[in-house]
Parts: sequence; structure tokens; C-alpha cells
Amino acid sequence: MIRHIPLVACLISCVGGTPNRTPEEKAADVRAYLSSLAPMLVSRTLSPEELAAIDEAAQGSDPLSAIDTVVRGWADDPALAEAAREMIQTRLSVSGKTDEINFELPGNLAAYTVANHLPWSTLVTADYCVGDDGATIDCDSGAPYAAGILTTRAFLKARASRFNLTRASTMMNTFACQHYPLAEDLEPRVPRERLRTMFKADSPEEQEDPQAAGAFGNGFACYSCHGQFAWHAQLFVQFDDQGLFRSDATGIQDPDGELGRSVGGLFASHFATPEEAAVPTSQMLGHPVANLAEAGAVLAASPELASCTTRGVLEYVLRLEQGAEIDPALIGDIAGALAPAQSTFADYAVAVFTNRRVIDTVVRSFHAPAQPAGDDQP
Amino acid sequence: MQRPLLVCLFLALPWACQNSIDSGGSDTPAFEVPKNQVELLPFRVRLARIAQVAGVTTDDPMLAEIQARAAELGDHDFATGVRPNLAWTAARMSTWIKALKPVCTSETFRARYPDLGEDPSALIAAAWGRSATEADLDDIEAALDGVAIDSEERTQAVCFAVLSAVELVAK
Repeated sequence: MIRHIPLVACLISCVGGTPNRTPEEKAADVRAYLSSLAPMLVSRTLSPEELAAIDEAAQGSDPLSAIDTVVRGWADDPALAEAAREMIQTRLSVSGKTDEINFELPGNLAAYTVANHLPWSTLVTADYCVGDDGATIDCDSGAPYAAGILTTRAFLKARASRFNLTRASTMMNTFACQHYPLAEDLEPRVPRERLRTMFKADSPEEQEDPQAAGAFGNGFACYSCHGQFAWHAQLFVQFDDQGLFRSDATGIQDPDGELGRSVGGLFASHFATPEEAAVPTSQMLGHPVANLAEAGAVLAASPELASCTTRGVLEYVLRLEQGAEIDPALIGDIAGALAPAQSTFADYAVAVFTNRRVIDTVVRSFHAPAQPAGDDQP
Repeated sequence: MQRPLLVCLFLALPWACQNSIDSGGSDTPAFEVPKNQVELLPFRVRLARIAQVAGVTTDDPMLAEIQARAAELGDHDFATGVRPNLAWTAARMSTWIKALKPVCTSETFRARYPDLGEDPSALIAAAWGRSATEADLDDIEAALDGVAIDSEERTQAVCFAVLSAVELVAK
């Protein structure tokens, strides 16, 4: 038994709660951790009260309790709304104004959502927009329905492209972190026979449309992606290249225009029949939807929105590259505890930055040696 | 238990938990935190931090020069095709210091930090979120040592140094 004492002592030390670091060292780690988050989340350094809470917790049995206290306290900091604004603006590349369009509307809605403690999913469900003065206003696309950011001219104009592919991919990337092709069970494909000929093919041999014979996009396996693009792009078929709603949209290819363009500044549908091509009736994550508002509601309630927001908050605050490699188990653990339709931005921030594994990963990076500078370093 | 396994565990367990902030954490990083490049904070965060240090709101006239130079300082305006640029270049440092001049020379700011030229500790604490160390103060003194400047110039130089530090603009 005696020879096992060192092992037992070590186990107690590592697992049982006996600290390896002095209270001062632990306080320094917690202070460094929170100091690295505060500017991006609340645009400031730690307050004297927050620093005192860190020191006090370090003297007790749970030094990490200060992280919980401080991060939860940020939920009511007005600057948190500005962090959300910046995050959305940079993710969507929308800000500023032109004579025609206020590109601040998406950021305004994000800031309003946080300031009013609304669910983050409001970004894709709000039936209003928010002006520069913070008051709710009618949205600017002229559509008879609204889906938060998705029906602002800022989003629609900035992401206008042939076949509405960029609008669709940005929506799915930003709010669901999904890239085409999605898993079939997440988004079952449109039956092949309902698509335009060029999108039915899975190989050069199957390609019967001479316009697509040269694999104009990303190869010959058109149906693999466009069988899902078709659903999401169709939601935008009634919005023209200026982001305006057009009830006269047909979704039919302009015979004299560039591939993927319909007439009158609109974009062509993936669907083969005029009846299907003209209307926004579609599907989102396996659910039938009548239009973009209903699609936004499906997105809002989806686990994908919770996972994607978790990832987005982590990437933005820690300044990781968008799409950075993050252990999926971590995202799953955090997002799994959050209700996508109800959770606020603050809920996400608290869940992410009080997560033990996030804390450990960041704190270890403080102690890790810097990587050798590359040739591009000054 | 076999002796080799025991020795292995004995050696491995302390190593596994030594870098954790406290006991009980996972030993596998969940992602890689970028460490090398100095990347500026978003422009509006820097603006808010200067406003906080100065004790004013971001629309205070003291900050008008910073606001006016937003694009030069890396802010985005996607509507006109301007993407954020968060590189801390020599040109951007120069612009930042020019934009700080109205702050560092304002009466309001000077009243808030009356001994700035001689003792920048209060400004460092407000700007960097931690107490000034001897090394911080020595660095400032060393930079100014032998430079022929008067008291007013010294005060401005200290102000620029503290408000241009990486600890404020990039962390």
C-alpha cells in the first residue's frame, strides 16, 4: 500500500481539487483570461470591482467562480449589444449606407436584440427592422412578410447573385454553419425530376444541358449541391438584384440574359416548371415552408442555429478565423445545453466563456511558447 | 498494479494537469488560439476604450478626430467597399497618434490625469486594465531619456505611448 501513496497523492492533486497553483497564480490566470475577453465583448478593460472579485475568488475554494460572476455581469453591459453588431456586420460584410440602402439595418437588429434581451434567433424571425435611432421600423424590401436580417435590402443586395446562390449559401453558412452539400438527412434533396435539366446531372455523362456541358461551376456533380441549393435559393426568387420584393417574379431564365438571371433584375429558379419557379414555396432543413419568414422560423428553432451561434461567438471573441478547427464535441456540449429559439446572445456568451474546456484552452495558450515567426512577420 | 504502469502514471498525471488553471480540466486543447500576429481590436472597440479612459462618450468632440479618420484606422464601411483592416502598420500608428492629439491635449483629459507627465500610473491602470509595473515605468523613462522635450511635450509623449500600446489597441 505504501508504494501506492505517491500515485494516490498525485490523483488527489490532479482530480480531487488540491490546487497546483498558488492563489496569486490562479488569480493571474483568471485575470488574463477575462482581460482577453472583455475588449471584444464589452469594449473595455476589467473594472476595479471585477478585479476584486477575481482576487476574492482566488482566495477561496473555487477560483473559477469569478469567471462566472464576471461574464454573467456582462449580460447587462450596454456594450455587449455593440459586440453583437460588430460580429454580425463583419460576418455578413454589411455596414454603412448608400443613397438607396441603409446597410446598418442588420447590425441595428443585432444590437437591438441584445439590448432588449431577445432571443438571438430574432435575427432570422423579426417581423420588423431597427433604425439607426434604435426604434423599430418597417423593413425596406417591400415584402409582405419579414425574416429579420434575411429580408433587409442590405443582406439581399450585398449577396445578390445568379440563381440566388450567394444569398442561399450566406444564409446557411451564417446561421447554420452549413456548407453545400449538406447531409441528406438534414436537408433532403429536391426530387431530381423537378429541377432544370442542368442541375439533375451527377456526372458529365448525365449532363444533357449544353449550357452546363463545361462544368461551369465546381465540377459535374451538380445535383449533389444544387439538389439542396434549389430549396434555399427558391426562398429568394421574388427579391430582385436591388433587394426589392417583386410579386411579378417568374423565376424563369431570361432567354437573352446571363445564365441564372431572370428578367427585370431578378434571378432564375432551379425549378423546371413555371408554376414552381415563380413562388417561394420551398423547404428548410426538411420542413416545408411557404416563404423566407417560415424558413427563418425553422432555422431559429434548429440545433444548427445553436451550434452555429456558439461557434460564431467563440470565433469572434477569441478572434479565430471563421471556420477555424474547433473540436465538434466542445461545440456540441455547449450548444446542446442551449435552446436555440430562446437563448439570448448573453446566454451564448456565458455558456461559451464559462465552459471549462474553453477556459483551459485559452489559459494554456498564455503559457505556451510563441510559434516561430514566419517570413511575413515584421 | 504493474510497476512500470505505476511509474508512468506517477509521471504523467502531474504533467497533465500542470497547465490547467486549476485541477480537473481537460488536457486536450479544443482549438488553437492565435498568438503571433498583432491584430488590432475592431475600430469601434478602440474608440470605446479611449472614450472610457477619457471618461466621455464616443460622440464627444474630443474624439472627433478619431471618428473622422475611422477608415484610415481600419474601420469598415462595406457599403462603399471598405473592409476592416486590423494590421498595426507604421502608417496606422502615425494616424492613431495624430488622432489622439485632441484627447491628450484636452483640458478634460488632463484634469482626469493631472500628473500624467511625471506619473503615468493612473493612465496605465485605466487604459491597460492593470496596475503599472516598475518595468512599464522604466520603459517609458528609457524611451524619453535624453530626448530634449519640455514638460508639455513630455506629457503628450507619455499619453501617446500609453494610448498606443498594444495592451490597449490590440488586447
